[in-house]
Amino acid sequence: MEELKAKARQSPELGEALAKLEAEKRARREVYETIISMIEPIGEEVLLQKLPFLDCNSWKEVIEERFLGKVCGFPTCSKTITPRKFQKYWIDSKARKVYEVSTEREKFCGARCFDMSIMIMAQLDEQPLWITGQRTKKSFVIEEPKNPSRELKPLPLPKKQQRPSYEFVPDQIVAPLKNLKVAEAAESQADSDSDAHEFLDSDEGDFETKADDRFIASIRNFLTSKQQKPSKKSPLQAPDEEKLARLRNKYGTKKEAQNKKKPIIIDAPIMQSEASCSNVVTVNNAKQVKDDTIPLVWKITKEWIGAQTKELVNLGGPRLVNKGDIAQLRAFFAGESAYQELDVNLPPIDSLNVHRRRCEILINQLKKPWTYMEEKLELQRSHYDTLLALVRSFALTADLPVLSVKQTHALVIILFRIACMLDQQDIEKRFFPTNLPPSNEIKAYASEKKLNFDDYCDILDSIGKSLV
Amino acid sequence: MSEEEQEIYKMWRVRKTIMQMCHDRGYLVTQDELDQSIEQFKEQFGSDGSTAPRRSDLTILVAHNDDPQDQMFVFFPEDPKVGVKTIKAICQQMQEQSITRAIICIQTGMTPSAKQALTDMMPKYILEYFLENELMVNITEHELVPEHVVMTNDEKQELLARYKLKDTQLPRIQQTDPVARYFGLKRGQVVKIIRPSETAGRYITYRLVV
Repeated sequence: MEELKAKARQSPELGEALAKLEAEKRARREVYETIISMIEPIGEEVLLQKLPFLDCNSWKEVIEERFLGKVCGFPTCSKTITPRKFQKYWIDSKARKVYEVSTEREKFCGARCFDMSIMIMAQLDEQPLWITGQRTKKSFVIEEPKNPSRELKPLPLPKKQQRPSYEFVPDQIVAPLKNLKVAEAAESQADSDSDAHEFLDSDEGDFETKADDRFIASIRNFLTSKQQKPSKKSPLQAPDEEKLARLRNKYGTKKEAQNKKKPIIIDAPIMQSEASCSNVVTVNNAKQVKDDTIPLVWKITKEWIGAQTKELVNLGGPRLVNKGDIAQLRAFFAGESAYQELDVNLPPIDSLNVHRRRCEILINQLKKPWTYMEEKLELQRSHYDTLLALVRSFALTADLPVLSVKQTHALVIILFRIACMLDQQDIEKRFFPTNLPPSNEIKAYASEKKLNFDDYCDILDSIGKSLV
Repeated sequence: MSEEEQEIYKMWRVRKTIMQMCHDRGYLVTQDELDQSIEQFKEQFGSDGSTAPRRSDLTILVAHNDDPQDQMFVFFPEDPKVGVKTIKAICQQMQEQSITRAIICIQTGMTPSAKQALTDMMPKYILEYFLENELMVNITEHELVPEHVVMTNDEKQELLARYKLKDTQLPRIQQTDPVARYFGLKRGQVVKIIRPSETAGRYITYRLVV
């Protein structure tokens, strides 16, 4: 070291490097001493003085050190904590979820200290002192306006009075949103101009204004839900939001009109706003729900029943060898080589068999109502395997719907109808006699599930005809 | 093996390796302690043989063979992760008994500030730390690890004079090398490494700790 110093006197570059090293050492020392001093509970004034020396990582270190000393992780808090030792997860059996026990939260006496710590962490520099070098001066400028006024002063106050300090943050969101609304109004105007005719065509006309209102409200909802997260994190982002708002003012309207992303925006939020909508709308919706089950189920079954299903029905149930195989076998015995080429097992394009996954999803939905129905009908043996074969023969598409309970029951009845056709025993005669309405047991089951049975007779009939 | 038993087994292995380490470093350790079986270990430390002993009971104090004043502590902190507080407590105990060397056996890890605290004490108090997992086996007994002999200062001077060398001209070994840590070597010390050789029977090298 002494030699180096002697050399440094001669060459300025070396001297600079040495000075840098020295400075870094000193900075590290300072950070370390700050951490050590914060292990014991300190007053907020002291904390404020020391914060400039810290960065995100060293703040975490402070928390860790305090936690190891069995004190709450927030430096001004002096409550002791008892760490749980071995529990890593907790299981919510109702929601069927496994939660990892948050190790970070464990280090604090309560949610309040945890939130405070996160707040402070958001304000701290990411780079440590020894990398940024001259932070001491700079950071005082940054820290003074936000720290004392917002987070640190309310510390000694009781919880209720302290609330307003948190509500500062939502205030910050509202401000940029107000700016946004100017742009938004312009957007909606432009939209309604271009879309007015479409609305007239599609809706009955009475709805037009309401639909517009709902549309705007939904966008607003969407924007608020979107905005809240990032701006909650730190109030520092406010200028960015303003800038963004200005930009949207300038360019936003045109682009929005061009892009026409309208359906995506509308979909989800309408559900939320429904409750607040007028009676007319809700009544109408209720009607829709009532009629919903049968057309949907009918539609999807129609789509699903393809050539494979028909073939399955024609063969009268799942067979080890089906028609195609017979043809192949014949070709094979005839000595044709084409068979071998067909036999090559090509690797699947995706890593998983998509059709099989879809079948599994559908079967999982149907399993419960199916078994329930079988119990009700007092069948001699279970036809679950027939259901599996049937579902596998369906041409399932990517837009597999999530069925409501009622819909699954409706679907189960239809599937049972087809399954009856497959079965060799005389359950078809028992439940679905030809040229006669379905048996009373089926009717009883349908009415138990509050399904409108008359509509079903037609569907079942036409399915029976289409497949035979 | 139940969890408790596993813990006991682990502690026994760790303590055994530590004893061997003390012995190899030239501290006075009785043969009984080196040969201690797990049953004897349970008897000595476990309250009823089934629960794991408290780590604080395992603390060891050994004196050097040549200089009884040169003593060394071995600490087994209770907390899985060691923070500055534990280090401070250890240092206090060392100060009270005016002992300058200690080994700390930690279970899972150490905070960065605790490590910094160790280096801060460095010139005056020498604290080394090992993870328990590192001590499950004695690495120097492994067949791929050749025999290392730590040379005294006189031996080093003699070696340098004999071969007319400066110590920087010797091959080197890092201070963080597992064997160097095992022997607690300091910068500037020299180890003699004796390894079997197909052509020469045995081959001796000297390495300088850097």
